[in-house]
Amino acid sequence: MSGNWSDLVFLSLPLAYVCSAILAPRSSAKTGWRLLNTTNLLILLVVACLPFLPSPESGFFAHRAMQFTVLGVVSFIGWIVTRFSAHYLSGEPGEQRFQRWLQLTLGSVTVVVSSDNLGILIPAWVGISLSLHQLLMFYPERKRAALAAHKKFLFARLAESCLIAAAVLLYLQHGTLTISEILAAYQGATVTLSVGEQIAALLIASAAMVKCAQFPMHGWLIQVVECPTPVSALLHAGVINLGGFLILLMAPLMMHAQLANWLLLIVAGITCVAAALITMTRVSVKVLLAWSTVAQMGLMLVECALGQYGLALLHLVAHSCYKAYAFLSAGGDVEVFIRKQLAPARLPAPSTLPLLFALAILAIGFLYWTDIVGNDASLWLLLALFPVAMLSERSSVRHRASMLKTAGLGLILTLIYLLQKTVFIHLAPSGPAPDTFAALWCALLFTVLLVAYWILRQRGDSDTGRRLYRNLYAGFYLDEWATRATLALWPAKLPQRPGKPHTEIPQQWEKQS
Amino acid sequence: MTASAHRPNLQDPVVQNAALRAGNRIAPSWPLDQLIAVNPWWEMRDQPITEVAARLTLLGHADGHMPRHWFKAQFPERISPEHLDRAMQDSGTSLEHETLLAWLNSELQPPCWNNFSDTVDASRDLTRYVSWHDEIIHQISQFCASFYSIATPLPHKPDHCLYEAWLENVRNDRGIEIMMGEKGLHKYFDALPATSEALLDEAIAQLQVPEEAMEDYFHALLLDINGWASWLAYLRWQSKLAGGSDDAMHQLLAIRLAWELVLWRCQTSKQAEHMAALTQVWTQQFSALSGLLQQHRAHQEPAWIWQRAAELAFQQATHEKLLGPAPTKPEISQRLALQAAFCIDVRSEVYRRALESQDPSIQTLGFAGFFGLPMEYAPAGASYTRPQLPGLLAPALRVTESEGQEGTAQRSSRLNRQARWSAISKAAPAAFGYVESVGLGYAFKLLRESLFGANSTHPVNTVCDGTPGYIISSQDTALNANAQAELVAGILGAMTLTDNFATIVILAGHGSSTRNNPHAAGLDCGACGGQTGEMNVRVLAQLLNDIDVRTALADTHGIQIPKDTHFIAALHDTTTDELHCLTALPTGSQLIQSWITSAGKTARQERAGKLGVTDKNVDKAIIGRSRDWSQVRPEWGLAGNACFVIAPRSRTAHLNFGGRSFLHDYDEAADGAKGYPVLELIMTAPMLVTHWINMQYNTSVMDNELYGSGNKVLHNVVGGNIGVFEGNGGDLRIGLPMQSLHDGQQWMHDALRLSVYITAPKEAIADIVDRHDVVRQLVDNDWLYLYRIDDTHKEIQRLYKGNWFIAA
Repeated sequence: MSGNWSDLVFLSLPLAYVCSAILAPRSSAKTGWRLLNTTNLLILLVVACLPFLPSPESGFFAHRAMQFTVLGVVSFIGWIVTRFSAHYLSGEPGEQRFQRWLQLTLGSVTVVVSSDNLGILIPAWVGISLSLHQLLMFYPERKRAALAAHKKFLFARLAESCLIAAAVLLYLQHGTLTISEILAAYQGATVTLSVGEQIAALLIASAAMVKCAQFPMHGWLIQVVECPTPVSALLHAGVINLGGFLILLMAPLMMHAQLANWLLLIVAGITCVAAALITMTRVSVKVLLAWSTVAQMGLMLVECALGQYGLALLHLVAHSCYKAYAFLSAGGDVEVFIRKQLAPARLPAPSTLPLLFALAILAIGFLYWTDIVGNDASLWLLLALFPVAMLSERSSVRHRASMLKTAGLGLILTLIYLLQKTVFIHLAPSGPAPDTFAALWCALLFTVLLVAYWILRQRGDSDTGRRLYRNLYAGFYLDEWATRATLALWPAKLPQRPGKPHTEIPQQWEKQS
Repeated sequence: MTASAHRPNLQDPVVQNAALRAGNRIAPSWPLDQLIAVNPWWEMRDQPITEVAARLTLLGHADGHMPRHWFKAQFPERISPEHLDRAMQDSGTSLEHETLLAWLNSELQPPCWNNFSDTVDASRDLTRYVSWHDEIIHQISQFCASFYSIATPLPHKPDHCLYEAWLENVRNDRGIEIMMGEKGLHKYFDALPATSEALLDEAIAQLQVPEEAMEDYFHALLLDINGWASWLAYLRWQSKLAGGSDDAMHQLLAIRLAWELVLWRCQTSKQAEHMAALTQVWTQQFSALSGLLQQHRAHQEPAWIWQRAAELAFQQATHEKLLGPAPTKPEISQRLALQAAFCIDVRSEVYRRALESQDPSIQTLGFAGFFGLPMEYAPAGASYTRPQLPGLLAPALRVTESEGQEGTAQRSSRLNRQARWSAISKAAPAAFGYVESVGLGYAFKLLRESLFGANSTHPVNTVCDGTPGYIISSQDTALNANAQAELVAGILGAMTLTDNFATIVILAGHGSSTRNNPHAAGLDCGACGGQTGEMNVRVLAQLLNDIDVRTALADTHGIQIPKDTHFIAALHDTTTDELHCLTALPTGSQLIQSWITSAGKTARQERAGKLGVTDKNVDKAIIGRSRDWSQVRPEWGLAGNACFVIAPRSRTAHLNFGGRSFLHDYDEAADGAKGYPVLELIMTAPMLVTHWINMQYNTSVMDNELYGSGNKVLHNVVGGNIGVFEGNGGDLRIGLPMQSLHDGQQWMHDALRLSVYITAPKEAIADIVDRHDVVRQLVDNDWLYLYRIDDTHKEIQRLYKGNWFIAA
């Protein structure tokens, strides 16, 4: 086994996380935080330099732009969460436990993201789940936290089984676990996959969907708002992306796997639209954000299935930043509420949204016809829903905003999007253009999204509106079934506490002078 | 299935009245954007506090007093054996000294009331299955949140009442059956009556509730969902202030009772043999109810003696302070350089002391922070009004900026832009494009917050800056100079500020500056309805600087304000102890500015210890905390509050109350000449507000589960402003979060009932107590202590049940 100093740099990252995980709990909480802050900032800086290092030679570490990007996101979010937690969790009895498991989670993620060998990736993948479980159980006495973590625990094992089975199949095919060697087999223009490879791709897609909390395995992600805010931020901006990362990593294989892509298109596509609509019925800020993550992960997987890996990577990065901020600043929701109360929305005329949508379809149809956009036209349609909604919801009860100015803003935002897309397309492989059926399926899904939104906004009191609202409110009862099924399969041990029969006494506060 | 299907002649008035009375025992809890302190036991003030605590322990499993180890840790150092003896004498108890000491180490408690769902849960394997109790609270709580939220982007609002909407919701909900593994549960929901009144009758009959136990049973059910009951009490309170009589409490009760009925029927049909045993337990519980109340009362007797002893310990120290010799202040012959009026808030005490220590020519005053302006604020260009006065009162005046048409339109445009941008990321179709186009920009926001922090960005407080002036109107008519003069004459009189005006008079409202804090309004001025006092002081300063108003004041009310006197509106930032002048000081006031700055430094030094700030640069550290989005303990708010002194400042200026005392200026001589109207006002308004604050802190410490809002790191804002959940769901949480009360090691607030000290004649005080039921109830039912400081400074006397006792 040989390597160069570049390998040592790669190796130092998880080692630094592990060392600080061991050292931090040995001193006071304050010193521990100082150590973590410094370590995680240094790691972030080192990660920023990685692309400029020579390629590592040991075969354990990868040297790909996509992996650097994800590594950058993880170490950035890791550092932000550490800084945040230092004050936020101050005085919590479990502060030092948190420090340890935070570092171990980040360390495992770093290994997964930087490794080029499935034999290393998979154990580290398990390591993430196990250390995250400790963070999700930060308050072990909370029943709903325990139930959610239990579900997550089972789903994680399911995802790991899929991943291990896929690895075995790929090993049988290629005789190696080194990812770059496996992927090298799929570089040609015409690739036909064996049955084993098709199954492996299906397993990888399944593992990704379980990790990304797609239907019907989404419930735990919603319910783990039972743990402290920084854990939610870490989860929603970091760990949840692993499913997407896995597919991006295996993109050269996945882009040829039609079956796997259709699985993604159907499950993630439906999840994406349904979850987005469900967010509209949610009344507490963190639960709303969690549902929004389910929807956004759905879109990321759909983009992968359409071969738009660069766009999926952009989505991963942008969503991480957005969601980390949204969770960490969730306490400011009252201010957002007041801001909206100062200028309540004017209900647009019922015809506004359909007209604008028709315009968008015409415009995209034109672009498609003139070959400016290809079969990713469906994603353009989804993007166009942003300015469409903005234009339709532009006025308050006291002020009519200018259509032209709003359209101008929409145009600027679209340009910003294009610019970012151009950059990110170079950071990940790009697949062949998706077939027309896939494009039509997605276009159909996004149209459903708009129509359902219109019904909720304009016809909420009609029978259809009420029925739609009720089903969305109930999350289609999918999670209830999933919960029952997991409990039947492997019953959870729910925490019971003495004292009041129905109250949850925060034990940790009980120690006092 | 409409209300018309219901036959009102079947209503049993006994049941309906019991429901009404039980509902009336629940106190309101204000929404997060107008968060003010409330005594959660307020609606039971007509009973002795001991009785209320016993009842709440029995019915709501509440901790009605501090835990034993809290008293134990203080004995015999802080609570001395003498205090304990005094407390025993005062209570006239027959308990032995040894019994009280033994109580500190015992763990026993009489059994509490169990609702039927709890009875069913008792025979359920709760390590395997979700309890009925949790599921019921979750279902009701999520439903109420969705029913009352105006924050969702959907205009969809049920057009019917709470109970009927719930019935429609629950009848269509198949999730409960799946979750609880109870097939066929929906049959029982289908069979529920269509109206809440009919439900109450039907359930009472089927559950065999005896008449004498109805009210308590109803109360127990409401306590089970106390957060939402408090929300409904808030809506009821607002309706009453507006002259209406809306009250949906009995509907919430009906919903909770419907669950009991459904479980009852479900158990009856599914587990008939088990049900016989359950029924027996159930009916026995009713017959044991009054006996159990007695037991709880007896059981808690030692706790109240210890409580009294702890209060005596605090009072003894306070009495020594108040009776100690006051240093003779050198008479200042020249005119005062600075007068500054602050809110009575305990946090002002620290800053006032710091400011007064700067120079002998500085005088400070304590007055209710809304400065007597019963106003609501309607920002120009916005569709929003907010009350800026105590929650006990309804606003009589409306204040808005005089922006002119163009300015108002510009504001509307700006507010619209901000609101739409805030909302668009939450609209389902827009969310995806939003993330892909601007998501990356949040990396910069994350960096900014992590590295630099930012000033607090309250959307209303940031609009009200830099306006030419304010229009004050009453019922849509602007007040004229005479009406304005009459208004301020009353205010100045109550402030005891009618002559000897300094050249600069600062009117200091207060507010906090915290980030990312759902309970931010709770740290603002409670007297201003949970807002900063900024608007009130700006308006009052405008009135007092107005030439026409001054002329009218002099002509009609005999109050002469010298020409060179400037009234300056200012805001005391209680998080950073900075005093910001909102209207500019006149040129040449550098000295005053330097006093203000240096007083802030002194106050921050004093507070640093409690905040655990050990940095060398205390100022930077404390101001940094106020800008930090991850800071969960930016300030201690009113923690530690324990007394309220109503006296001229000269009686207290030499004393250090350590930020534990409310201070209201009061001049008995001037007031006596008019028949004590000011004293009456203070005892019926500010005194109630301070009592609410005091009891909010006490109950949040005693039982944070029921009366506090739990752990901040789990808080999840509900409906934009309604309140918070702790985590995913559960009941709506009211009261103060743990992080506002506890530093991780110890409580920062001692649960001591408020001690009020007044310098006024015995007769005047007793007369006011006599004339106001509310005040009499607070004094005689042990909700607070009412003391009088004798004119000779030799004695402190207590008024209790119509008699005066010598206390020190």
